[in-house]
Amino acid sequence: MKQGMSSEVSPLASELLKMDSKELPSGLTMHSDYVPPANPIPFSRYYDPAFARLEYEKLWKKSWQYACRVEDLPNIGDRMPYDVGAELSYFIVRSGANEFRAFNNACLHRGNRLVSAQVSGSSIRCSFHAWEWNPDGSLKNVPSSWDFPGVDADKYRLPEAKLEVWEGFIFINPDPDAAPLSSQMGLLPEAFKDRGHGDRFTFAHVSKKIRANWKILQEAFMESYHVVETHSDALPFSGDASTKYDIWPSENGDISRLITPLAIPSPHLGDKASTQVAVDGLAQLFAMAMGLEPPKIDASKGNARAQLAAWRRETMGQALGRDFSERCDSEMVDTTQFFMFPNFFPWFGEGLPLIYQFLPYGDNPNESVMNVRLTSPLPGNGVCPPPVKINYLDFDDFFSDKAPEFGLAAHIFDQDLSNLGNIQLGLRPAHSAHSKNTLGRYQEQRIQHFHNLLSKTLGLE
Amino acid sequence: MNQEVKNEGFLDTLALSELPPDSQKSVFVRTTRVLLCNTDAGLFAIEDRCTHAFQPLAGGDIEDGIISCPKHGACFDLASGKPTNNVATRPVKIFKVRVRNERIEVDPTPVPS
Repeated sequence: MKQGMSSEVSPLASELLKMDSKELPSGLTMHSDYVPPANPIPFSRYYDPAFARLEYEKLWKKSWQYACRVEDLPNIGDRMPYDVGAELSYFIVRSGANEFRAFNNACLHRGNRLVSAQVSGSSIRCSFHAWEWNPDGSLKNVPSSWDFPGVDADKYRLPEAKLEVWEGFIFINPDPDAAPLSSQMGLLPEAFKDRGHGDRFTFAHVSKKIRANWKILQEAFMESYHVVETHSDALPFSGDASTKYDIWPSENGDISRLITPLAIPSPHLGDKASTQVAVDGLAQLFAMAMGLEPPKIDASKGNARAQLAAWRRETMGQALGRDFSERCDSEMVDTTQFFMFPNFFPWFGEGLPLIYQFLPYGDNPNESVMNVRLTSPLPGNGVCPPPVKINYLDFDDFFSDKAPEFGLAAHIFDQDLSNLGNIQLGLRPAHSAHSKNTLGRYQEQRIQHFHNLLSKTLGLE
Repeated sequence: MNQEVKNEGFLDTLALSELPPDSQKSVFVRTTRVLLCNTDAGLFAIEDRCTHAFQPLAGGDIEDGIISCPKHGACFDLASGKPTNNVATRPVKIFKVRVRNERIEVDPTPVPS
């Protein structure tokens, strides 16, 4: 199978990695030849309420799922909700210096939602009748307790979901019989080994409602095939068609990865495209994001990406008081995204340091939530800045208008989001002969793989 | 990016000679990409970003002061930024533009729509 398209001035990502000026980490050297079997993906998966119901019962109630990050909850008693549609709601609380717990987000008295936002405090108190719990889930107080003879501390601990922390990411699993998180992570720990993701912090966090199924959302971000149309202004500096895609199936969970090289022209622009324009275009974006003058890079020397990476190491090192000298060119420049089933997208490196999380919203399978973060390595002094507030964007809000903290990335998200509602609108009226996905065999293989896993999880094989 | 600040907050962009009649050119005004259009109806500065799919307007046909997005056909009035068909519903930002000493200058603050 052909694995991407190159041009004379834009090699495949796999070739660019070989030219890196530094030693590559395992997250970039890993390679897989696995090709997922092509199974049909009917459009009904994206709007059928019965399919959404099946997902709640067999996926969301049974899977390890990324809920939030440790830096969201710096102090004991800090808590925040984690909602999966209208069906599942938990809140995550820091219950000790290095201890977190996840509780059902409903009062044991009459069901009132206990936590609706990021809040702090030494007790979790219901707003209806002031029933209170401690951060460890133990019952603290019931007003007029004389009236509740059957309510004792043992029976009225807050019900708890399983919780594990990996590299600063907090995962929960509602299934009390679930195997450990590692059973679902596959090679992800090996990929992220020694890259310091536990020493990062979130500096921008948007939660955006979108009128499309959660799978439509995340599949829009699993391939770079869409760049040529959706992000055409990025073609001068994006190796969209030269992207490397890999999938690693294993007994301990499946993961996948894409590496889209930047600072090279898109192969779609042909053999005569300018490598100087490519590196200058990306350098300008990086410089704007940091409020700096762009570096002077001479692409005729043949190592433009290495020159840009060197500038990134220096300027990021100065800004953060950290040493990036061991980070390879690709980590400083490219966009590398991992995926862990069902909806966890940790990005790798500093090119575009995002975290994605896509979730159902409410009771409507035609709506969902995209939670996206920008992260940074902690400053050299190790002091984590205060947690950033979540910026909630409604259905008709735009990143460019309402999320200036995302800088130039806001524009990219608005481009993506301009498609998503229309995709959902096209699914049901589609002709019966074509009411299923037609996927690119290489560039869209991660979507096929995701659906194969979903089918297996839902018992549809 | 250093752009020389002229009188009344206008920023220098490029020489008028670089934008002959019936031509357009995309430039950065601080961090905003602005499309300068030299048309029969005059000189215009409009954000180089269609509000339909957030793609560049650069390269779009211009007729009677209306620019048509080359991607999906959204049309905008260059003078007001308002959409003139239903492909896009939100206006595009426009900017004051002037020529001083044969240089094209743009006010980086968008004109209120």
